[in-house]
Amino acid sequence: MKQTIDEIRRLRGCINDLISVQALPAMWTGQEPAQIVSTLLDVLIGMLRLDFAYARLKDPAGESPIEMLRLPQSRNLTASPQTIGHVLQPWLEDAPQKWPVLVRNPIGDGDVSIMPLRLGLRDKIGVIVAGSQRADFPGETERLLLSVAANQAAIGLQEARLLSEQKRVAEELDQRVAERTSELLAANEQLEKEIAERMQAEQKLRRSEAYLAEAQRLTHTGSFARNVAAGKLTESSEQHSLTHSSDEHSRLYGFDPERGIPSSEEFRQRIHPEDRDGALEKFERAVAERTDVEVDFRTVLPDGTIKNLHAISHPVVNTAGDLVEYVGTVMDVTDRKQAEETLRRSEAYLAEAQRLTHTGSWALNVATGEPTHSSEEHLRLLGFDPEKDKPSEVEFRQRVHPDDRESVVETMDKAIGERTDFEADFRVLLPDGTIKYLHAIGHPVINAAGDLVEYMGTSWDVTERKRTEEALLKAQSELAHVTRVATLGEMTASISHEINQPLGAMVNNANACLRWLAASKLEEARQSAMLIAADGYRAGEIVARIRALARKAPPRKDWLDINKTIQEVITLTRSEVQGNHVSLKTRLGRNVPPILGDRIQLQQVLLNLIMNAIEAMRGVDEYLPRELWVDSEEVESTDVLIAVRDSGPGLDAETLDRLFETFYTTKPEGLGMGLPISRSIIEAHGGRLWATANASHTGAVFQFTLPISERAS
Amino acid sequence: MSETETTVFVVDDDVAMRRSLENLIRSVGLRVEAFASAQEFLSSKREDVPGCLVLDVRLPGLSGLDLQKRLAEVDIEIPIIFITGHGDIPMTVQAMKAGAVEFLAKPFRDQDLLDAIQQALERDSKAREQRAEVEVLRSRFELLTPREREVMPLLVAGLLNKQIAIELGSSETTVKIHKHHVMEKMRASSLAELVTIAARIGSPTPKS
Repeated sequence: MKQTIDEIRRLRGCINDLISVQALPAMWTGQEPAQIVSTLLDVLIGMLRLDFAYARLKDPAGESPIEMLRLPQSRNLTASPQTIGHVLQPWLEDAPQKWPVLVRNPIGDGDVSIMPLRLGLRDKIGVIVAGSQRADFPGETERLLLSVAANQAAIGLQEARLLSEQKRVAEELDQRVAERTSELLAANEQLEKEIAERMQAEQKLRRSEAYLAEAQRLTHTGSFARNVAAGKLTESSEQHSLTHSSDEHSRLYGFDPERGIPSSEEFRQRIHPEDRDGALEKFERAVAERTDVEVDFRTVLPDGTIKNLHAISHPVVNTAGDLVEYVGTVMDVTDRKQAEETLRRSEAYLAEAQRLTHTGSWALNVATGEPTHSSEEHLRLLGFDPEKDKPSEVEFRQRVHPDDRESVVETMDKAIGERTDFEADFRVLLPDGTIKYLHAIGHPVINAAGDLVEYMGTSWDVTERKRTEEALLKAQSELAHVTRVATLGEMTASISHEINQPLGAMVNNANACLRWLAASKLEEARQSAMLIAADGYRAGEIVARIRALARKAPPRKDWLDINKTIQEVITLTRSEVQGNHVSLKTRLGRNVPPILGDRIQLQQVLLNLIMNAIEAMRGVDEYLPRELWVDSEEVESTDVLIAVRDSGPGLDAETLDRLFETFYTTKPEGLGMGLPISRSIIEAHGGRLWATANASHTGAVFQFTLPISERAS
Repeated sequence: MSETETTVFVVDDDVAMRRSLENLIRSVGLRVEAFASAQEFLSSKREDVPGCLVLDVRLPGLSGLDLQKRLAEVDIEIPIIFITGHGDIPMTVQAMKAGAVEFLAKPFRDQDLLDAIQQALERDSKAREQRAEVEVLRSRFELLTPREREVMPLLVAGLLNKQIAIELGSSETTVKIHKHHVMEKMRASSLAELVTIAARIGSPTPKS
């Protein structure tokens, strides 16, 4: 009974154990194989009172196997799983021997019964070895329990392994997904960056294109690209079609840029007919030679506008060396052409004006002392060839007449030093010996900073004027002579009277002398002879004066006493004065300084004025006084003033106005030359001659001034 | 006439000419007074001596011809010899009409001037004599009563006594007495002589 009760108890215990083992997989769910094996070994060692439980699990990844060992806790034994593994080695090989029933106890004395439990098909998962010193080991239930446990473990491990595999795969997948995700992220980022950059670049490009278009529009410059197939120049124009035409390029030809690129033929038609063939030929020749080309041509727009264009094209060759296209720019140079034309024309006008007026312009760099500009006429004036010569300042100065060179250079240098304008009259001596008279004026050019930059000026040929002036002077002098002689002619009667007076006196005295001698009155006779001599001298003097006036002498300047000159003229006019019952009075200033002048000319002026005054008073009633004053005085120590006043009828306004006009005369026999000539004589002396009404009397006053010269010591 | 009294006046503005004229005239023993202008001559205090005037035509201020006219105006009778540098015919005619003795152009022969002076001086002395006679006749005329001065021109005019009486509203007898006194006072021996005297003294002609 006892046996039966024990057996029942044992069986019951066995059933409990079986249930426990059956329950194990539920516990193992989600656990690692090592944990599964570990709990299994713990369960087996406790359940079956084993001396050891050993497990060896193969690593599915092929790593070294995992070994585990459980020993009963009550016996305080220690051993490493490797020790057991080593003992069990011969049966754990790839080709294991048949498991024995007994093996030497690796952890104690004697032998132990062992039971290997294979996990999975052909130990795919691993093996568990249970060992016990009991001889009955393993009993029937123990075998059942162990095999159920092994099956359970195999299932658990299989699951765990699957699970772990799944987990690994999942993890791997996760990782790969993560990696891929991050890669994608990075790629995305890169892409975004690239997109941003591209957008930026595009924006930049757009902007620069806008700038370019604006620049093209503002500068009227278009760009184009022209597809050219090398060696097929004679083919259809489509071969040369434009692949690019900037908006402005299209506009230059009068096309609407919105409508796309017009055909080559359309472009061709817009070229001015006169320029069309020439321009295209030039371009095609360049294409054949693969050279850069510049073409100037005109376009005619539908509205008739004509534009001047300037095109520059440049060949583009690919890496293979084939000519691909021509790119280029076309610029609207209409304004420039017009400006050039205007400038050219105005320069031509200027050159023509300079040529006609014999006026040259020049500029001189003050710093270098060299000419920066010299007009063609300026070069011609100085005897240079405008086509060939580019003379230096020294060469210019060498053309100045040696006699004038020093003073011209001095004048210029002084003006440059003082930054003042200058004027110079000088002669130039050309290599062929020609002498020209030039008049030059120059003035300083000062920049904003106040620095003297250059001198610019003009020079003109005054040779002709000089000659004219000389001829005029000569003519005037001849005319003056003629009028002088004419005046003398008018005065013939009075002059003969003037000479007759001393002659008559001489005759009288000679006769008287003879009578005194006859009466032996010697003293009286002597007196008479002395009178004769005095009268003879006087006659001689008068003749000399008349001869001097009638002489045709060139003007000469001498120091002379104007009062003496006045007296001499009065002597000449005396009989005219008396014959007309004129009372002549002089008020000659004392110590009037000598003046530099031509005696004969000044005498002529005085003679003229006095004769005019007498003439004017001829019509005055007899009972009215006929008075003539000749005055001289020094005025402000700069001039001598000579005045001739008469008491005649005076001058009316019209006469006053026209008095000095040539050929204006109030006298029936007058030439109308006297006053103009007198005025020119006085002005040639640096003085002034004018007429006024006589303030205190009736009559007229003619006055003239003569400058007091510094007497050269 | 004595030589000291007789004077030749010279007016010429030209000093040489004036001096030579003085010299020449003095050399023939005549007294000379020279002036530079007409004004100077007119304003000088001259003795009323016989003489003549040698006058230049052209003078400053008053000319020679002007002076001749002026002298005539103030009844200065002096024979004038004109001298001129350039005399023309109209001027000469004018001068001669006005009583010039001679008109000489310079230079003249000395004898021509001296002859002219001589002639002028003679003319002056003759004129002076005549002037003296007239003075005597005038002084006689001054002695006549007013009535006699009325009667005289009528007598000279050849009226009969009867006619004169009617003219004056008087009687024939009274006229006869007046006539007698006039003839006596004027020392006229005949009516013809009275007529000559009347002409010389330039007595007034009867009112018509």
